[in-house]
Amino acid sequence: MRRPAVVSLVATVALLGCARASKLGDPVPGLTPAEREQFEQGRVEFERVFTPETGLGPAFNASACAECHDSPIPGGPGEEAERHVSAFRASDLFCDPLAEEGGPVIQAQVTPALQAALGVDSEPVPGEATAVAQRTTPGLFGFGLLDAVPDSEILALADPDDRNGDGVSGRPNRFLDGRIGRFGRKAFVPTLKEFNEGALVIEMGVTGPSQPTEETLGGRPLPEGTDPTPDPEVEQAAVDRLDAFVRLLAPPPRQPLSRAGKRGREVFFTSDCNKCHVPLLRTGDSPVRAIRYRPVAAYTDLLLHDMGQDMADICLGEATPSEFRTEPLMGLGLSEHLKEGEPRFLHDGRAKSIEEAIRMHGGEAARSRDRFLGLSEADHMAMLAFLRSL
Amino acid sequence: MTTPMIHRPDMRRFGPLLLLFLALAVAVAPSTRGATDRSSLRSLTGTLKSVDVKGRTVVVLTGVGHSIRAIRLRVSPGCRVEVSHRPASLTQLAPGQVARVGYEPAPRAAAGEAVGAAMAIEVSTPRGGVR
Ligand code: HEC
Ligand code: HEC
Repeated sequence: MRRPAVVSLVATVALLGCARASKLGDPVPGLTPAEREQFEQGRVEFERVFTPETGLGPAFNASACAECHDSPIPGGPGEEAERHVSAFRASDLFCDPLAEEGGPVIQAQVTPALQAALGVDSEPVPGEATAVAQRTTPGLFGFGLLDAVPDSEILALADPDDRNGDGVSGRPNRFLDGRIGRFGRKAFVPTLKEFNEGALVIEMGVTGPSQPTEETLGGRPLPEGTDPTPDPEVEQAAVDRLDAFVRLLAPPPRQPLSRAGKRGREVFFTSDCNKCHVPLLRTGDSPVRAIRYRPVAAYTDLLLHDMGQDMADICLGEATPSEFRTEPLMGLGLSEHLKEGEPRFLHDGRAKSIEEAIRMHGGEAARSRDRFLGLSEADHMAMLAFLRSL
Repeated sequence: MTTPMIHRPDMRRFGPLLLLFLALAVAVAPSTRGATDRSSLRSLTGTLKSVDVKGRTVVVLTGVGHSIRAIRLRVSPGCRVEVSHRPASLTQLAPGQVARVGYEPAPRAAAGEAVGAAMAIEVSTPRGGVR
């Protein structure tokens, strides 16, 4: 029953071209000249290196977006990893992101002024934390299209109580104000714009109009004189350019499928990988015509799935420690060739190859993983060829 | 440095709450000689982190992306509390609930101090947080 649908879906993907770039790092095709200009100027913001004089810190992880998202070009995945913390309170099942203690993102560096004032060179992990998570830097190509997918499309895929009995029960995460989330490994953040605006502060210590307060160091007020640049440290127009760059980055160009790749596409479906890595989502309305009502072959449902206790780390929003967002598989191959460092997969980079990442699937994905493990060697290779083409 | 993140209220969702604020503003305006005019009222929506019934304070989590802030608010004596559109008391509030809070900002608040006085707290879902 499922196969005809699958075939027509794949045909649709092939026909519509999915607003993909002809070259990695290009914007989505069909932008207006003004949007194109905004994209190019936004790239400058993404690569902009901040200093303490221009707003860096006092606590920060890196001095530019492109310092982390860099492989093989700005916007890609990267070798850098950071730490996130939270406290999962079993008594009332409350997930505390430890905002008053400096969480959920821990800053690994401080400016010389803060170092001199406090005598520390990074933010301490709060004692209250019940878990410390490692987070690797993901690629961002095509994420503007994911931003434009309507909530209704995500909710339609959810099956929180596994009514259809297939062992897979995705559910959406929710942000602090109750809106449905989709960005970050825990799918906590509802919109790309908010993720980008938040990234300025948590990664670089650069305040903007929407988040005019600095990150603290372990929740302590910043000592006098350690944050000389007046807030907000960047103006909204610069934030908007930065956002346009990330938003308009096209999905990575898809590699032509070899014969093995075509076989891999079949085993991807017969192994039920598509139950979570949903091949195609559709965008809704958008102020940008080029991303309005488009298919996006991201291979995700943007929902949380319980991946088993071996994978568990922090909670965030409604996501329990073992729940993670289905990682989009578009651009997967980029993480095999990072500028620096070894290939790494999954939220904390624990898997050193694509195959290892699949083997580490547990929880709701255990059945599908076992199907993969039961395949012939030739079909394993076929699956990998397919995944690398995305 | 200490301004909390302010959400511009969405008229559709905040309509009833705004009406409540307006009513409150009108009611208290004469006694405070215009100090509580409409424009000074703010609102935020976030997750309750803690509720101190005795000390009459609540801490609400709001944020922009992964940049999260804990906003501390005093609960004013006349504060109207609602759970699922029914009048309620502070004791019915619990960590994890999503709350809309209307508050009168404090003129100046240092880090860790209450940034204002809550005039209305509205929880639409009795449960919240992680299942
Ligand atoms: C210190 C390294 C670092 C820097 C600098 C950095 N990021 Fe990231 N970025 C990360 C990591 C790590 C994650 C994954 C977070 C998670 O999964 O919770 C991420 C995730 C993202 C995501 C969400 C992707 C997804 O999978 O949903 C976006 C969007 C993003 N970053 C944009 C930016 C922007 C814009 C900047 C600059 C303002 C920036 N990042 C700077 C490390 C970095
Ligand atoms: C129950 C849902 C589910 C099923 C079924 C599933 N996955 Fe996943 N997959 C996930 C989640 C969730 C993640 C993210 C885990 C993490 O971040 O640690 C993921 C991550 C991955 C990754 C790593 C991506 C990266 O960038 O690090 C690969 C590769 C992958 N899946 C392939 C597959 C394949 C192939 C199958 C079928 C054999 C499959 N998955 C079945 C949910 C699923």
